[in-house]
Amino acid sequence: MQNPLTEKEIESTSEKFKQVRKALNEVLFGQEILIDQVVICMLARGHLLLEGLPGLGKTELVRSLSCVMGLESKRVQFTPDLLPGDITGNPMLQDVDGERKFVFQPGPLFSQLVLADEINRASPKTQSALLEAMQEHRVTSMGIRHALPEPFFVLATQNPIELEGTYPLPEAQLDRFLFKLNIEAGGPDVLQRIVENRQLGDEAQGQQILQPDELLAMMQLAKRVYLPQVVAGYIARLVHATHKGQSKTAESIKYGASPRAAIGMAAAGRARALINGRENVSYEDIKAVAVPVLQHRLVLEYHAKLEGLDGQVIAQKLTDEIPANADSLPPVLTER
Amino acid sequence: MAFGLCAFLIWLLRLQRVEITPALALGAGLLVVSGLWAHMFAAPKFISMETALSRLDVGWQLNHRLVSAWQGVGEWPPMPANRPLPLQLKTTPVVLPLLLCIGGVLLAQYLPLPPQKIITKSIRKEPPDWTAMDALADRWEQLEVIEPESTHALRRELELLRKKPAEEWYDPASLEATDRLRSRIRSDATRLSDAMSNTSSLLKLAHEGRMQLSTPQQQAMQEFLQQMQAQLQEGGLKLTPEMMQQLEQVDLSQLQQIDAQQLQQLEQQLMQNAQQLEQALVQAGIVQGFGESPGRGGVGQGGGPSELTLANFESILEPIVPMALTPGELENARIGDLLELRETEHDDDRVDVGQSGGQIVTPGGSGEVVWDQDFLPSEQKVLKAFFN
Repeated sequence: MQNPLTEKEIESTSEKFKQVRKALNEVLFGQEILIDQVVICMLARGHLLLEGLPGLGKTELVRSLSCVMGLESKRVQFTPDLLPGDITGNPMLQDVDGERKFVFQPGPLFSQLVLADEINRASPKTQSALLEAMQEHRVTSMGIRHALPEPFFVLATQNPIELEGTYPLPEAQLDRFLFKLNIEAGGPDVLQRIVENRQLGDEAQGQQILQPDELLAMMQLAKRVYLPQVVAGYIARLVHATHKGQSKTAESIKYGASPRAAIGMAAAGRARALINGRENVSYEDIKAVAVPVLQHRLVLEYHAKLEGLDGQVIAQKLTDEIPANADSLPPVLTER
Repeated sequence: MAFGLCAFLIWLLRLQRVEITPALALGAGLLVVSGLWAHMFAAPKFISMETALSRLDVGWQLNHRLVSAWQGVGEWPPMPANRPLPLQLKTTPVVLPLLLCIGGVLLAQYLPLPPQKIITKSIRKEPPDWTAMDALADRWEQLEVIEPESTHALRRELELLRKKPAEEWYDPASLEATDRLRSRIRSDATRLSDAMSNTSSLLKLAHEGRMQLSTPQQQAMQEFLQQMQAQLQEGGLKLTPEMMQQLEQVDLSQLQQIDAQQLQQLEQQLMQNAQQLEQALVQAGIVQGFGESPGRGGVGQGGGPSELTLANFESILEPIVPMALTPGELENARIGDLLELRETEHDDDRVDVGQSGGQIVTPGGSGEVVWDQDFLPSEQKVLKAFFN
């Protein structure tokens, strides 16, 4: 068992993230749940795939995050003609000390927070370059490895409409994203707050709460959050149930989630527990992160798609179907 | 299962009227063994401590703080106030089998058994001799011939025999005791009856010869009467005190002073009592009476001589006319032919012993046999003195 967290560490981390969430909520109106999920994903050292219609605040979210967390951020608009070198960087022939040498010019990936806008519009080659960097936190050019800055987060967005001429991400690449979140439009009251508080053309500015080093330290703390066996068992059963024949819901799933999903779910659970000021993960943490972790990792059956079901609905059904407690109660006991 | 087996054993043992303590001990042993067996069977299905704490965590919304504390992570959380246990015991599946088992055992213990008399009735019927002796005692009470205490003694002895377990009523010891009691009653009753009969004969003799008897003869008769009185008070059966008082008032040494009618009444009453006593024995089946039909044979079966076997033979014993045998008759005689009948004097003809059974008057044993077997030396002495 890892060295358990101290009460002070938990309290300070929880307090910091309360401030982060508060700061973000002051910039993004009506997206409390989204903000919570984004913060959890970042603390779990995961990358995020955002899906939503244009104009719902995706770019705003990234800018606010970079401000609040003190991270250097860059935005890349993915287009079909975008080349890998355009995002990773290219070697440039330069005159160095009287000699002409290829000097690596870092691309936009060399940033702590990268917004990959409309990732599904880039070619698979470019997508692969991005996904390799996400996985390995480094870029290789002319045989030389270039480490990406830490912390390193990718927030990719994709537009669910106008899919002509796009390159949907293959499942193996989707698996690299810890969370997939759907951005929903707020209600009239949210719109009213936006109208009252924002001017066209103004950029959102959030208050910086964290330093990158603090964020890295908190990521380390999240790894030390205790995961009880019963909760680990719940994660395992939940992920296992996504496979054919393992649950009733799995009838709608062609291919289930990978072990990486289980690991990601545990990491996200740890992060959520830490943010909420706890030293251990609980069933509630797992239930809260199960849908964002699973929904983009499930390949649905054709009939499920015909019925209009999507990964989010199936993941929610799965979470509802699988009981948290593994063992059924003895016949002489009953729940109140 | 153990409870059920225990209940069945208790019921079975109670039915057999056997001590149930071994069944209780066996039931307790079975309970322990079945408990261990059930534990071995159920142990793999027990939920782990972590699972149990996890359920409490969920029920009390403690976010697995109990589980973590169990694993040494963090402090134990305080007990939630005003929150019931998230799990509760189902009373029916736990209590109902237990109550059924306990009820079964109690039922087996306290359920009324069928009456024992049904069981014993089906097993034994008391020996018929006891019933016969009971009937005899009833008859004695009706007759008022013998002392009531004698009847009570007989009933007490019968009661002692009946108190033995029914299984022992027909064992050799009981049958022997019954036989002895029966023999003793028969002997006592016969002795008393004979004594009364002899006394009655003495009184009759005194009554008939009251004017001819000399004083010594009267005194001898008085002595004989006193001996008779002593006999009537001996043994298991005694004459009634009233009758004894009447006999004691008779003084044969002063025969002339006794009222002849009173003497005759006393004599007749004694004879009647003697006969009733004998009849009671016969009626109760204690003694086989002298019947009017052929006997059934066998030792002690009684019945007397057969009418046919003796009647034809005795019909020949008519007064006989002497006839001489001629030589021709001897020559033509064959083995088994009757050649001659002679009238002769025989000892058997001297004493007529009276009616021995049925309609046949048979010549009994000789007088010497009667003298030797039927009279005591003291009686013989008195009689010799009287008839000499």
